[in-house]
Amino acid sequence: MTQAEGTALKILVVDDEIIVRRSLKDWFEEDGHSVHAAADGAAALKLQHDEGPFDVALIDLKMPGMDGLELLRHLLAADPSLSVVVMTAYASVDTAVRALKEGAWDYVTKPFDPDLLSQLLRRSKEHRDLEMMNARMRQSIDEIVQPRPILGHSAAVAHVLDQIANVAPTETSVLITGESGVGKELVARAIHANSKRSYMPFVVVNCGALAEGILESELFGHERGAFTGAQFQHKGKFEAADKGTLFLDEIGEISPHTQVELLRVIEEKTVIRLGGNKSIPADFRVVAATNRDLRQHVAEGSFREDLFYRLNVFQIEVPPLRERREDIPVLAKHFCTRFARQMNRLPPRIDSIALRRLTQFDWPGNVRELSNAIERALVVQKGDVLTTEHFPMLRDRQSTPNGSSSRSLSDVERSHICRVLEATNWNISEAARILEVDRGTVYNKIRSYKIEHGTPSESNDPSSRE
Amino acid sequence: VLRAVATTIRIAVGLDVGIEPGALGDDGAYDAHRGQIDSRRILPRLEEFATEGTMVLGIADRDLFSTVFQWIFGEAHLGGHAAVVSTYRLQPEFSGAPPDLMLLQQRLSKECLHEIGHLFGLVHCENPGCVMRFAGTLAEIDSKTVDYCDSCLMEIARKRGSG
Repeated sequence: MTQAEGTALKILVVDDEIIVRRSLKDWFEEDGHSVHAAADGAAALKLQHDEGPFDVALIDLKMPGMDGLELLRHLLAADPSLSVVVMTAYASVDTAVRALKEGAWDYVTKPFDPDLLSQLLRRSKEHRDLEMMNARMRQSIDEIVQPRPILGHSAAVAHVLDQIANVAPTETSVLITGESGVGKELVARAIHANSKRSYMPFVVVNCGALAEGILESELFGHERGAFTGAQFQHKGKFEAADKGTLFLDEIGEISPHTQVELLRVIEEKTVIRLGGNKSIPADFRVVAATNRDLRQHVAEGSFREDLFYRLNVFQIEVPPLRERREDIPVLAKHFCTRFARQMNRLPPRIDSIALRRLTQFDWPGNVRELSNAIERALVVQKGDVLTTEHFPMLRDRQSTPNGSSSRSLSDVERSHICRVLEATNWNISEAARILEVDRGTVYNKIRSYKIEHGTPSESNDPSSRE
Repeated sequence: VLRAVATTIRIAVGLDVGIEPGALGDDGAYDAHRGQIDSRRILPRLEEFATEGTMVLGIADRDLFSTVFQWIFGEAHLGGHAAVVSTYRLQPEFSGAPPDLMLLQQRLSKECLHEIGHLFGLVHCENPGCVMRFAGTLAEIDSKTVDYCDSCLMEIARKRGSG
């Protein structure tokens, strides 16, 4: 089998001695490579411009006019992925070392050992293949992990997108604020996807969902035997996010003790696992999010001021959906399409009255609530048009003046709690905040009204009506 | 050894092979300072011996170098009519092993077939066993077979048919 065309290298040979150019050309062509030769730097640069890009350039260090080092700089400036091999006589190895520092890939001494030269070409081919494979994989990953788009035509969305574009390529810490369900994680993912860290991990920690001890172990990791049940060493999220982005959601929920350790890790960029004493370097970028007014928490003393300023270097405020109502039709149609595809059916149309009502609705649970509402509507409606009938929250609103008069207080309360739980994806802390009661009360209400996941906000279950 | 090599070439590519004695390197191609023969000087002289439809393969017992290469096992002009191979580094004694004529004959046959392949315009082959695979060390020569792979053999047949 002769060498396949796809595996051949495209080589540029630059030497002022014709015999060297001819010998190397013959030698490489016997190996099936394609070779272009130039007698000086200027001719080499012209070849790179006209015939490039090349996989490998072999350049002589000592040439009249532009010397090898200068040529090396020009070649790499035009094509940073080019593997440049410098050719040198025994006497000029020092110069070869300088060339390596300037970015040369390798060097060979003249006269060449044919075996070494062949090995060098083989390695160069492997290097090129790896680069190509890497580029292909990056492209595939891009196609797979592109974050969901932030949709909307409003000025508010345009402003958020502008802020993302400005801050993403930097290493700056970002604090994303906004009500529950506005899409703070989507913003964080967009920042990561548009940063230099995009091919490295994006690690999410929901600080509000974990008890203090567990959160510390999750964030910082633990050594074996650090506490009862720590049977194995565990790497924390900071280590998992090495070279990538750590997204700390609901940052306002963390305890004062965890705040101290978090500040230390962010400032020193080293982690000490629970039960350990070794500082482990970690290269991460922090993006945090909260739906609380952290400034007020700082003023009240429940959130450390120094940590707040560490996290809030750049702030992105994501507006609630009711302040960008013009985006609701776009979002509603987008969710229709997405859920219809998941359900393997054609996306239904939303009739104009329903679309107007959806746009007028206040959406306390924001985009997440709208998404849930559309998904549920698609489940109950098998036809090709969605009307107000398929959106119970609109019916509530519509029937409020007359309808509520015939309902008991507990019935209305139950219905409201159900709706808030659905809107917050059953995030009890969040639901408690919206309802302005404590978490215990929410749990008690869930128990007393026998509310379960999937319970419609307007129940027909007589047992729940007292 | 040369007769055995000639037979191998005849079997492998079906060429008629004649052996002519002669001294290589005594005409200015020998570099006394390096103690090696410059293959680039020999090849044009060998080309002169080639007549229509023939190829000339020079076998040297001295070490070869080629302008920019410290040493070479052999050299040929791609698609040309002359090639040269040296037995110097192919002898088992070169790497400290005891003399072994059979091993030398095998190595020389492989190198001759390799250079003949280049004369037919073949480039190096990636097939591990093929004699057209590049070998920079004795171990790599020993790991090849004394034969072309099917693709290279077909390519030679095609070139012979068109030539």
